[in-house]
Amino acid sequence: MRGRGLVVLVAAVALSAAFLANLSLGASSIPAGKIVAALTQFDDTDYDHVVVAYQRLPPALIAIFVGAVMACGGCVLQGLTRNPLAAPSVLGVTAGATLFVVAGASVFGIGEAWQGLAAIGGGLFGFASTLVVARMAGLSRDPRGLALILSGAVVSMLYASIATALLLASPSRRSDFLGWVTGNINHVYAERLFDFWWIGAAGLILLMLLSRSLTLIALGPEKAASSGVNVRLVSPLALAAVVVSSSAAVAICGPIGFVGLVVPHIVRPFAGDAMTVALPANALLGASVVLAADIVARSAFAPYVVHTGVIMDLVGGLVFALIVKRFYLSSGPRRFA
Amino acid sequence: MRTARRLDGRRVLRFASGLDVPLANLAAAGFLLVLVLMIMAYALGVGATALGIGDALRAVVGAGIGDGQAFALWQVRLPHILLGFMAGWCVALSGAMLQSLSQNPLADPGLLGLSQGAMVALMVLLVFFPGLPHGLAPFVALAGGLGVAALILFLVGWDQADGLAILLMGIALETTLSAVASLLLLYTPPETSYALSNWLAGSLFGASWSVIAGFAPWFALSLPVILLVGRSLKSFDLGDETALALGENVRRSRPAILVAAVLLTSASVTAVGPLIFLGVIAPHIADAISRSTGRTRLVLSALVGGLLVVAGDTLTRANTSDVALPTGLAITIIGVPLFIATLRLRALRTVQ
Amino acid sequence: MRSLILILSLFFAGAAMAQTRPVTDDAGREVTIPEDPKRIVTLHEPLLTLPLLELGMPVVGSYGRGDNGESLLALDFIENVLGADGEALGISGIGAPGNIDLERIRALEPDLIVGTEHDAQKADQLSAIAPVYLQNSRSGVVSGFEAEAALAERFARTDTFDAKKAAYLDRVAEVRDSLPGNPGEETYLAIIIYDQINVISAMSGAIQAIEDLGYSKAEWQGAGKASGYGSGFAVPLSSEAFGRLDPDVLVIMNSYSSDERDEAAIRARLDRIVPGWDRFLKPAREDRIIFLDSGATATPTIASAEHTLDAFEAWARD
Repeated sequence: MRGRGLVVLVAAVALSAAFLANLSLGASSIPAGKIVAALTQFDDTDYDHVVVAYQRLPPALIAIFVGAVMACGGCVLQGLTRNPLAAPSVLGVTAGATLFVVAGASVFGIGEAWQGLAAIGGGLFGFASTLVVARMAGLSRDPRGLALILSGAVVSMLYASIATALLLASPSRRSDFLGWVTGNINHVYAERLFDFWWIGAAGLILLMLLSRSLTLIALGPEKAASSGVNVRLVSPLALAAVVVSSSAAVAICGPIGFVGLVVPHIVRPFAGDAMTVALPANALLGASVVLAADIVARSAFAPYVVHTGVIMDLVGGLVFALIVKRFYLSSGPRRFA
Repeated sequence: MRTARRLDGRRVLRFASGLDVPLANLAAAGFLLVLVLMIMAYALGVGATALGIGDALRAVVGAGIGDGQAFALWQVRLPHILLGFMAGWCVALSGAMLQSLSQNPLADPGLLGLSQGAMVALMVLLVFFPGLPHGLAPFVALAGGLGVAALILFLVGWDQADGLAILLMGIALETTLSAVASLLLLYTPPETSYALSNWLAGSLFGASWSVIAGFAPWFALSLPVILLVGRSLKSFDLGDETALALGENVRRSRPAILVAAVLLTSASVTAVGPLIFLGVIAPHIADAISRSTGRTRLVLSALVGGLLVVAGDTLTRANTSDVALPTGLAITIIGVPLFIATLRLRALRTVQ
Repeated sequence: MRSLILILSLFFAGAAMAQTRPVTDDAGREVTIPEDPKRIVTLHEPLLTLPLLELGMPVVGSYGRGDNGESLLALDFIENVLGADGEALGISGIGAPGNIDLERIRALEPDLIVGTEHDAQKADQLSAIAPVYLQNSRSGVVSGFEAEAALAERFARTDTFDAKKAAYLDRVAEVRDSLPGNPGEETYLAIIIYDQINVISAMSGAIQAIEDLGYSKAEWQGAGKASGYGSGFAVPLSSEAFGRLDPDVLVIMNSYSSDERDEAAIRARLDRIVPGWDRFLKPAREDRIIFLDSGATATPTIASAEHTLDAFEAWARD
């Protein structure tokens, strides 16, 4: 167990490094000492301090929020579905949330305050659609439980294309959402973070409280039931926590998917099956990964600015291919744990 | 040629060559054909210019009409209807082929990344080599689609018998390529990116007789494809092991089917943009109308595909509000409820 | 098929009836256009409809308008720039934005369709209705009034153009005299705010007016680089760098798709993107900022340039 605790420590160090790097790199690089000063002894007459506090800190916090929520979501979904490809973005949650926010704004003209609610409704709707399609498509004879992944991909593709079409149909809305819809971490969205952060935080706390039971369920629902876990209560509760918290993340900065797919796979070899360790490690590492992706997005294609969601999709697609290669192309189905 | 009763109890039409076609399938094909013709006739009468179905039909057979009406008929509605039908036919056909190939009811050229491959290749052409002639576009799209297909087969392994693995690898490539497409959009000025995204949403705006002439060979290609591929697909429908036992050379036929699907997909992507989801929906609706395998399933699916696109385009033209309705979205609006209904229908059937 | 050929030949015959002449448009296409077009359809409102209207050309259809002439875009440029009413001018629409309707265009019976170089792919389709003339209009290729001058020459309206320009230049001299400093020795930077801050790199009517007053463009970090989602007209500027800008005159406008484009709205938007900007930005502290309404000043027309002059005059008076 001590070795496992070390993982959390390493992830925490990675997060601090990524956090400081994210704060110090920008149009002009601000030395670490000054950043610490801006955070501890804020001086509102120093422009560097104001930049750090108002322009760099909010996006960094958004990145941390999104990374933590999505990575934990992916970890829990992969455990519950016992499938290495599960993640909020794979199972239609992010696409559903995106669609509802876009449709809400462009068809019903809802304001920012309601977008959070719309996103959560959409996330639930997207996940439910995935479940329904999987069941109805009659994939039950599929031995490796890939029905969910496939229907998730179909549902995501469909909802994303409807959202794009809706944006096309209202050109004036398009410029407002063009950045958001590709996953844009921007300090202008800070207000939404202040509005919705508690939803994600509540979700994460709930998952931590359930972590022991979740570990047992991931090892086998029957076994878990025999050790006194109320599977019929814990699973839906955990799923709801994941869907709601990742939808809140979408409401803030658009779909930044695939953190949830990638990070749990990095963490698993070190943290093992125990959710009590895996969840904090995922949260910390997920946050670091998004902070790093944000730095890459801002600087790799300079002077062009790419949105963080695009970078994560690029990385996520490649990792997806690797996972398929590793778990599904070896001789005979390998047990996933 | 005579009717007979097959071992499974279905009444079939038995040809001298030994080919069996279930009567129910024939009836379904006839029904769909009539439906297609009816929708096409209706579509001739829909649009901003006042031109009734009757006038349109009379004009098609040679009667005189006004200038504006002639323009609407010959330059707008007929090209839209014909190109829409052909593109829908091809996409649905390639969806049906991929579903049999991967033995999975959710396979789709879009899901496998084939559409995205064609799309990204076209975007590279438009963004980095805007001077090249437009005639190259179909071949560039084809190269992109083939590239993705080859990459999938290479990554999965040529003799991998598992259809699911192909599908999953396709999803991975699709995600990556979509991100690449977003990156490419960055390098285009906003006006171009707006035009591009219009095309990405599926549009028949460019339908004209010259585009139809360019598309016709691909459409014609689909007929031998149905004949040649249909037979091996029948064995795939039964599962790979059975296919092997029946003497099907999976190693050879799988790439061949994939290439055929790519050809049809790329051609329609060039003409009307990627028609997302059509490849999944059409075969399901066809199955709901009449269960079939092999060639018959391909023909029925293709008919439904053509039908859906013509209907979607008609809805786009019927939309007189001030908010645009992209054809791709219109197809989705019509297709998805039908899709859900068919899934529900099947669930009910299974219960019984 | 025979009737198809008949129809096609009818079209060509129709086009040949009026007084026409062959020209080469900016996309290098050979087009036969009418000497004196009577019914023009344009494919871009701010870039084409407005210059043509200013030249007194008969526009009957414009992209982004409804069948009754009401604007379907976020902003009615005809109203904001020219103070005119598209409906009263008899300008109709050509389908919902993003969905050009060929039948609607045909119903307007145009004798000329004018597009920008970006409409090249639509030209084949539209040529079946009327000759399509493509005019280079986008930033980087043409600047200021150049496109309008080119159109004036092409359609024999140079007299109208020259008269308007002469009146405008008188106004420039008048406003220049009212300014506090000497614009010939001062620098400017023009900013437009979308969801991020952008430096305007192209010569719209506003920039034409500012440079005609004598100001020269200030150097700024990242100048000369084209960039992503807003390339062409504007180049993104880091919101951090914004607080450090110090040109002699800073011109700021809100995105023309935003509902409110006055000074208060621009200030509110900046408060979100660069909190504390009015305390750190030197031009803000020293009242060297001019707030412009992008809806009135961003088109490449003389009228837009004159609106810009008005704003400078008002600023100098305060």
